[in-house]
Amino acid sequence: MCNQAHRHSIHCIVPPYMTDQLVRSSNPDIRDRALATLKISAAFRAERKFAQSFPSLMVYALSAEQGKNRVIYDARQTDNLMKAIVRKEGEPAGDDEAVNEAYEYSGDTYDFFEKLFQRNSLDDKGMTLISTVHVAESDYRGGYVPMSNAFWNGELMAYGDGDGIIFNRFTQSLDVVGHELTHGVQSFTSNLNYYGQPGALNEHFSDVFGILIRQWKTQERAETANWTIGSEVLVPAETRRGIRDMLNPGKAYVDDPDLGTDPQPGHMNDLYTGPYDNNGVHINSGIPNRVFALVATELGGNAWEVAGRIWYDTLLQLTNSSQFNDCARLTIQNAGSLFGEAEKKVVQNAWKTVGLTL
Amino acid sequence: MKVQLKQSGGFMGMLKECTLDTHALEPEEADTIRDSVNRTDWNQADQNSGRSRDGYHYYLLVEDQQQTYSAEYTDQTLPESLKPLIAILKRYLKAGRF
Ligand SMILES: [Zn+2]
Repeated sequence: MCNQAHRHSIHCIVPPYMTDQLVRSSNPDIRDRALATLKISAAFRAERKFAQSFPSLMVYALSAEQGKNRVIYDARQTDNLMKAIVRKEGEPAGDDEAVNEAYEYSGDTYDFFEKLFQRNSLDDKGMTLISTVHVAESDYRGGYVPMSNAFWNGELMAYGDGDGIIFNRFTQSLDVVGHELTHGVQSFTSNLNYYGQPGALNEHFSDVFGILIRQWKTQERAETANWTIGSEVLVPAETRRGIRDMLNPGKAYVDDPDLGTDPQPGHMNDLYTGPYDNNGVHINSGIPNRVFALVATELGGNAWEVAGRIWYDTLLQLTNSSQFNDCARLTIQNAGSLFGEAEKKVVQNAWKTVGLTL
Repeated sequence: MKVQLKQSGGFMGMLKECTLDTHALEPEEADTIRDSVNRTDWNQADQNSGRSRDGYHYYLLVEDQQQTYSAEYTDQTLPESLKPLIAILKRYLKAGRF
């Protein structure tokens, strides 16, 4: 068993008989056997400690050389994100809806980035998409309660089942799954710092591609599309329509007895400058979100074709400390160079609407 | 002992908060909270979320007759000693205002 004293030994992580060639083999039978060995080995029983210590190595160990490769874990209502593998690439759907959704929607996300932007997974090198469903939070008596959240831990997506009162299971929403996976794409591209304006841009790009994946899959046109993020995640009520509304920030939920009122601003005058939420990363993303939705609805048609292309190229060009005005400058520039003067004007006007004039 | 928790972040980005007096709690909860506070090294607070996205941030304020402690943590940095305290306080969280 691994412990603090010798956790840096590679033999504590990967048994000597299992080379990375095996888990990275293009032969699915060999890869599956290697993965199964990895799963049951003594080293793998220490996987949580290992994953915390050597996250990138863990993903490397489970990576495919190319193509779509999904692995779904079931945390079985614990906080152990690698408790049990329940479905791997190519295996048929089972009875567990959360497993099926995580598998299907991570596949949709892979297909979206591959077909539209020729991106081979999060790292553009075929990285395995790992999802863990039925994640719970520990209570103080040694038990667990279902998690009302979804997050990207730097290596995998984790989804809770919600409390059933306000939140449904988070895998139900394709745009939530797309959002989490886009955090993964970002970690291999701009890697925007998760604080202040760079952090709000990080949240913004995850919302943009999360919603585009859904619009692309359901072939929604921008003018009539639903611009609400995560509507399936909330138990319906008159006071709430979704978690965020890209076209109308601040209006996703209003005077809700449990959630209060959506705090997202839609204009620079209302920028949140307080300390919470990493200086407002999920708050101030409302401003660039509105810009994207305004551009897409103004241009009309399929948002993923023009606005999506402009934003994807921008994501590749931003750096980890980019601010809103860097994003504005690059989207305007990319609209002109990729499409033309008319598109450039539309993007420029949208930034002006939210109070950013360059 | 008075304990206040503000939680921000998560996919939703909501601010939630609660303030409790341990005298008003069930003895088991009050004992667990006091034990958590006493076992914690309050100089080790760390607000780094590392590579994680959409996790929670916790802002804790604890006041008793002798001392006041305040610290900020994330899901990644929350010490084991504080996990029982956070688990209890989470059950009392209500929507707050930014
Ligand atoms: Zn996010």
